[in-house]
Amino acid sequence: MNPLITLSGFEKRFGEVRAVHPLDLEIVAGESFALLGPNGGGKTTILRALVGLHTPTAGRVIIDGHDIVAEPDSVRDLISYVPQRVGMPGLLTGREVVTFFSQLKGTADERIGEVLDLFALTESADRYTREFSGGMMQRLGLAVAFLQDVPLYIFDEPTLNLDALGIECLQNLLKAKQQNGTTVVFASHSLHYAMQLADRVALLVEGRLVRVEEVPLFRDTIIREMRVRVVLDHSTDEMIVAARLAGAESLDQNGKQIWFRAIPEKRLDVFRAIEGAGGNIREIHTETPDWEALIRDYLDSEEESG
Amino acid sequence: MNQNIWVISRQEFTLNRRNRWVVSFAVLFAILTLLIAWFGMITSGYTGFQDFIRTSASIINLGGFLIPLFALLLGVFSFLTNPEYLELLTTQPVPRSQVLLGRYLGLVMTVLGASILGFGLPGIVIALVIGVEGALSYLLVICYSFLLAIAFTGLSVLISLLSGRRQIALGIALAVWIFYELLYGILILGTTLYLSPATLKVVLSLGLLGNPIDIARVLSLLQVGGPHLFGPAGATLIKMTGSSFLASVIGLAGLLIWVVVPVLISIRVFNKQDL
Amino acid sequence: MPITALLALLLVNQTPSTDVPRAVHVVKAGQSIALALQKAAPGDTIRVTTGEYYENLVIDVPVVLTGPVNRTVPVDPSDPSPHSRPIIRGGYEGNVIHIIAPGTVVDGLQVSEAGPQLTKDYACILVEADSVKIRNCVITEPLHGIYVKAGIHAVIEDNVIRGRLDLIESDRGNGIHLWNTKRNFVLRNEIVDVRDGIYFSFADSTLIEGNHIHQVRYGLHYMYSNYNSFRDNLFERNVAGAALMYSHDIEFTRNTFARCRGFRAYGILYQSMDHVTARDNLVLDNSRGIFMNNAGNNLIEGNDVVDNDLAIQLNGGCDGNIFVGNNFINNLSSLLLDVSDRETAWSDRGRGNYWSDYDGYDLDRDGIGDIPYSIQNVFQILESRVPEVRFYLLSPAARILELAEKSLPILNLGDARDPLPVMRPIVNNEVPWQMVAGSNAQGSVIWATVYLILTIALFALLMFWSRRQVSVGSAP
Repeated sequence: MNPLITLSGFEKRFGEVRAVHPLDLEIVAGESFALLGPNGGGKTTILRALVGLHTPTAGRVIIDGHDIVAEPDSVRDLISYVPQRVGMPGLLTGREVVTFFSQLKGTADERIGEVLDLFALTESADRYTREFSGGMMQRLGLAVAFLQDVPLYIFDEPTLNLDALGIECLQNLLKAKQQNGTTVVFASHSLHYAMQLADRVALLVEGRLVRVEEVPLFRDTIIREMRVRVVLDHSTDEMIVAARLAGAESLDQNGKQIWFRAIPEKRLDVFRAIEGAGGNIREIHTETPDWEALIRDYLDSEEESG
Repeated sequence: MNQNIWVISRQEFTLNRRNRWVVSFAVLFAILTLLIAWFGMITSGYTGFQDFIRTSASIINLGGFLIPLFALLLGVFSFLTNPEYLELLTTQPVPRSQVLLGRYLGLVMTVLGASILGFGLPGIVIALVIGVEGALSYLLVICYSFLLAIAFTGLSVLISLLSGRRQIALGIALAVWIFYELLYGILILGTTLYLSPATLKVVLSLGLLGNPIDIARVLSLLQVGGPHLFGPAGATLIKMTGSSFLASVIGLAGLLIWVVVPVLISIRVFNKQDL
Repeated sequence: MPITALLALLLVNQTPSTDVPRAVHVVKAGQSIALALQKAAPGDTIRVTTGEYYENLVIDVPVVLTGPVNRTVPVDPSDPSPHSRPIIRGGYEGNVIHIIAPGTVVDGLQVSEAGPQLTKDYACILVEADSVKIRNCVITEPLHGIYVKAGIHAVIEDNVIRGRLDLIESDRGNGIHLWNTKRNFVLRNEIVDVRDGIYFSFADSTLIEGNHIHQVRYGLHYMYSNYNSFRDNLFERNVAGAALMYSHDIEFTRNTFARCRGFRAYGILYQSMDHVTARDNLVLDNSRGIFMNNAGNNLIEGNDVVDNDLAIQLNGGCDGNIFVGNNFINNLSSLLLDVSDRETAWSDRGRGNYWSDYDGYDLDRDGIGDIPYSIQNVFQILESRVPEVRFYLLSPAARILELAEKSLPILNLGDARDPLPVMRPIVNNEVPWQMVAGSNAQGSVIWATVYLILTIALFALLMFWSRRQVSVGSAP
C-alpha cells in the first residue's frame, strides 16, 4: 500500500535542543496511527510538523505526494488538526467560530448546525467562547475539525482536555470515519485510549522513535509488562522466594502487598506459589505499566536483537 | 480580493469591536480631538488661520501620539494573546500569507475605525468655522494620519511576529513608539550641535523620511500652513523638489513605503516561520 | 508732533472757494463730456447723467465733474458696475481722465479702461495739478487707479479701486500712485486686486486714513517719503502688508496688518527706516509679523502682534529700536535674528511686553515677571543656525527640547531678553480688533454636514461590513 505520510530522515531541533532525532516513518492511508510516549518525547513536534507549524530541520515530510515545505498549501487542504489545547477568540460565540471556519473551509452552511449538534454544543452555541469550559472548548475545536471531510485527521492528545462527553463523541465519530478509509494520526500518552483507537502505535522517547508496532502486538507487550499487585493478610520473604521460583520478576514487597511482573501464562503459577508459601490472597490487581517499564522492555529487546 | 482575507479581517474587526478597551480608546480619542477642535477653533474666538494651523497641529500631534501606540498595542495583543488560535488558523486550508493579510487588514480597519471618529468629528468643527478651504486641507490631513495609522499597524504585526512572545513584543512595541515619538526627533535635532550646516540640511530633510510620524506631521503642516510655514527651510524644500505638490508626493511616497514594507517583511517572515 | 501740526494746517486750506455761483452743464448719454468741458468756465459744474461715455478727457479748466447729484451712490465693492454711476470708458487707450487744472473735483463717476502699457504709466485718473479732489468714484479696468504726479494737496477719498484680474500681477498697475508730491489726503478708499495698494515715492506729509487695501501685492509700497501718517487703515490678505523703505519720521496708528502669508510675506517691513512710530496697531495672522532690516530708532509700542508664524525678524543693521508695551500672543515663534541682538530695547520706562509663552512668576505681584523672558527658545536658536530645523516645528521632540532647556539650560539662548515681561495681556482698546472682528473665514455648514455624514457613513460602513459575517449561518 502506498504510504499517505512519509517522514524520511526527519529531524527537528530548536536551537541546540534536539526535539526529534532523525527518524523514518510511514503511515498508510486508512490507518489510525498513534504516537505514544511520555511528555517531551517529541510527539507534538512531529504532529506540528505534519500540519506545517514546524519546518523540519533536516529530512522531508511528504503527505499524499506533497512536500510540506515546498507545497504547504496543498497539504493544508488534506488535513484537519486539533491541538492539545484549543484556543478560540473569547469574544466570538461558538456558532460564530464554527461559521467563521466553515467560511474558510468553504463548507456548506448546514454543516455548522450539524457539527455543533455532533459535539453537543448547540445549547451553548450562542455564548461567547470565553465562557466555555476547557472540555467545551476542546469539543468546539473538534467541531471545527469535522466541518469538512478530509483524508487526514490529526489530533494532539485528543482525550487530555476533553470531557467524558467529548471522548464518547470522538470515539463514535472516528470509528465511522475509519470505515470510510480516513486516516487518523494522533498523539497520546494514554495507553488506554491509544489502544482503543489506533491500529498501529509508535513509541517515542526523548525524541527518538523507539518502536513502531501493530496494536495487537503492542497489547501483548503491555500485558507482559503489567504489574500484578497481590493483597494478602501479611507477606513474608518465603512468599517472595516462592514467587520468584515460579517465574515472577521485579518483585516488591510492602507489608500486606506484593508486586510482581510475569507473562500471563505464568501468573497462575505465581499465585499458587505464594499461596503455597502460606499467603492468603485477598485481592488481585493489575496495574498498567508505566512508561519507564515499557521503555526498559523495548530497550532490552533491542539490545538482544542488536 | 481573496475571500479568505475578507473573512479573516472581518472576524478580526468584529473581535476588536467587541473589546471594550478598543471601544474605550476610540471614544476617548474622539472626545479629546473634538475638545481640541472646540477649544482651538471656537472657544478661543477664532482669530485667524494660525488657529487652524495650531488646532490641526494639536490634532495631528495627539493622533501621532496615541494612534501609533494604539496600533502597536492592538497588534501585539491581537497576535500574541492567543497564539493557539493563530496556529489553528494557519492549519486551515488557507495560505499563511492570507491569514496574515486578513488579520492585518482587520487590525487596520479597527485602527481606522477609531481614527475615523477621532479625526472626522473635529472636521465638522473646522468646516463650521473656516469652510471649504480648511475642510479640504483637513481632509488631506486626515488621509495622512490614516496612512500613519496603517504604517504603525504593519509595524506592530512585524514586531509581534519577530518577537513571538507577548511580553517581549510589548517591550519592543513601547520602545519603538518612544523612539519614533520622541527620541528620533531629539537625536536628529541633537545633530545640529555637531554637524556643519551644509551636512545638516541633508540630515534634517532626509531624516524626515526615516520617521513616519515626522513625515505625516510635515505633510499635514505643509497642507494646512503651506510651505512658507517652514520659512526658509520651506523655500529650500520647494527649490529642491520643484513644487509644494511634488514635495508632498515625495513625502507621501515615503509614507507609503512605511505602510507597505513592514507588511511585506511580515509576510516573508510569517511564511517561513516556525510557530 | 510736527506731522500733526502740518496736517492741521493743510486741513484748513483744503476747502475751495465758492464765492461766485457757477454754471451747471448737464451731459446726457450719447453727448460728449469733452464738448461740455470746452464750453465750461473755471468753477462750473459738469453734471453727467447715468450712462456710458467713451472718452479720454483732459480737464484743463477747474470744474466740478460729477455724477447725478442728490443721489447718495453707495460705494458697493460687491457691485463692480453700479449703473447709477455714469461710466467713462477710455477704451484701453492712454489715461481716461487727465487733470491738469488745479482745483478740479471729480465726484461720483465710474472711470474705466486705461491703457495697459506699464512703461507709459497710464492711469484711470492722472492728476498733474494741485488741490484736486477725487471722491466717491469707482475705478475699474485701470492700469494705475489714481496717479498723482507732481501735484500737491490732492484729496482722494471714498473711492473704490478695483484692479484687473485678467492681467498677471506684475502687469497690473498700482491702486493709488503718488510720485513727487506732498500734503495729500488719502481717506477711506478701498483698493483691491491691483499690484501695489498705495505706491509712495517722494511723497511727503500725507495723511492716509481709513483705507481698506486687500488682495494686492504690497499693501504699501513706499520709498523716499517722509513725515507721513497712517491711521486706521486695514491691510489684509495681501502678498505682503506694508513695505516701508528708505524713509524716516512716519507714524502708524491703529492700523491692521493681517493675513499676509507666503515665503516673502510680512505684516510690516522696515527697510532702512528711521524714527517710525508704530502704536496701537494690530499685526495678525501673517507668515512674518514685523520684519526689520537696517532700521533704527523706531518705536513699536502698544501693538498687538498675534497669531503670526514668526512675530519679529531682525536682520543686520538694526539699532536702537524699542519694543514696549506690546502684546505678543500665540505666535509660533517670537523672534528670528540673523545677528546677535544687543541693540534692541525690549523694555522702556519700567515695563516690557506681554509674551503669551512666558512662564515665569511674579512673587512681588507688581504685574512684572520676576525673571527675564528669553525671547528665543532653544528651538529658535537651532532654527537660526539651520533653517531646516523648522521641519520639526510643533513636533513632540521640539517641545521636549524646549522643556529640557528650561529646566537644564545648556545653550546660550542669545541676548534677546525682555527684562521686564508683563504677566498679563496689556489691555489696549485702541487696537482695532473690531476691523477684523472674528475672521475673514467663511464657515460652511455644508462642509460641516459633509464631514458629519462622511464620518458617520464610513463608520457605519465598517460596522455593517463586520456584521455580515456574524449573520451568515447564525439563524438556527
